[in-house]
Amino acid sequence: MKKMIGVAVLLGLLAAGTSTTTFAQPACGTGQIIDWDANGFSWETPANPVNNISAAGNSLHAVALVSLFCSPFADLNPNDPSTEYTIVFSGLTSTGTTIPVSGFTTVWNTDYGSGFFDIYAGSPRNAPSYLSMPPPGGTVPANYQDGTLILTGTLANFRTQIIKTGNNPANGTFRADYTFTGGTLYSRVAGSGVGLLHGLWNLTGAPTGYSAHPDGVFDNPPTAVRPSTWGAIKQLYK
Amino acid sequence: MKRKALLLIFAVLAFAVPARAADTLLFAFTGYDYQNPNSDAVNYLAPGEGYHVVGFVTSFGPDLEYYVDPVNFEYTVYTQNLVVVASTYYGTLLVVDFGNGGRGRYYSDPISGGTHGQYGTLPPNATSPSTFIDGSVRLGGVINSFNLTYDFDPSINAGQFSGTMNLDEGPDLVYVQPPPRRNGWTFGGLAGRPNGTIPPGYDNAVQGECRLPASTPTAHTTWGAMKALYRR
Repeated sequence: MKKMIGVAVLLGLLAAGTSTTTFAQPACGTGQIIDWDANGFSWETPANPVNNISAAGNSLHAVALVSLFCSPFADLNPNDPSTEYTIVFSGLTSTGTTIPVSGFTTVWNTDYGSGFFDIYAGSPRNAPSYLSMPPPGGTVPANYQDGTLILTGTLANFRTQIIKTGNNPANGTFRADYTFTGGTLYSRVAGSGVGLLHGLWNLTGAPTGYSAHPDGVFDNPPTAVRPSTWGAIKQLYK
Repeated sequence: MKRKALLLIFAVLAFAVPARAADTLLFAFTGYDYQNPNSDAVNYLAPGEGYHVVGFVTSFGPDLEYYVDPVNFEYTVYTQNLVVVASTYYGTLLVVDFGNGGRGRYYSDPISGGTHGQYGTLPPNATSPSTFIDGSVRLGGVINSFNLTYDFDPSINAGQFSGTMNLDEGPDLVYVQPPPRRNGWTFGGLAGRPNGTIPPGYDNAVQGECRLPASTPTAHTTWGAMKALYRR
């Protein structure tokens, strides 16, 4: 009987805590620094958008679990069994939604101005995944905001664009300009300039209480830098 | 003791069941897209041109995650046979429709002894897509109703694509159960926006997913109850 209980508990934990199998270095291409996939969720307060229209003044929030780290963070393992890496977006205020195209194809653009992002390394792994995502409140965003703040920064020109054409389901994208400003690993990207944050803004199938499922990537700033020493630089010429 | 065990099992299951089923991820990917053939150098995705996505799988969802081995294998994606049949502008927005019969696949290639996917420049080239498709096809499907939209408004300068993927090939197909679930996956992603990290010859950075939309919840009822709804 104890064995059965053990199996049941294990199955339950697997069902509750499983997120996705994520990858290390080989998947890195030429651009991305930090990538997240299925475990990204957004919501607005005081109320989520209705019919893709965000009320001016709404606050946009988003949380995500990192899927992939690339250079200069390739030494971090997003699958570390004891540490999870989470992203939190905050401070984004909707300026309202515009509809520049309407008809067979309809477009909804929403600007959110400026905000912030924080990336944490937290132990133990306690952030819920898309298979067991509770509505905002309680463990969200709290369990995404625990641990060591390894990177923080600002967001500018955050915009979502949702497009629906004919009978195809509405689909969306988002983009923003980001700048690293702090965190315990900031030295790896200090002074790297403005980078591109962008990705999918899926509207269908978001868990209860969420407005969208973002799947995105922090792309390399145009001028990447790496901390070094004079000794190391001299070595290059020997 | 049995009662306690059952209570425990129910308690665990109660926490395991989500409030509402979200979409199910099959796999997510990142990479770049390009046109081939690219017979019209002026107009992006003109009729008759082909659209390809090449890149790496970055995560697998619950159907596949226990059967893949990202420690020892590199997983790559490639799409083919997506041919433009119509492209229409609505102001700065380009809407491109593709013919049915496209194909999307992911491949596996041993990290040790295999060939790492290399984008190179001006695809197709000596390494792309060849180093992305030189492993074995693990899972593939036909892509229908594929369309791509791209907004050339300078403040956006990005696009997205989406199609319906019906899985029909590869040894990993058996893990998607029951068989009717192999139809109706959404193959979609971000296409954009131009930035300095995109290798020359590719058009856009791609961030995408193959996912199964959540089913619409249903509830049991009776004809009497339904009629009552219309008597109010």
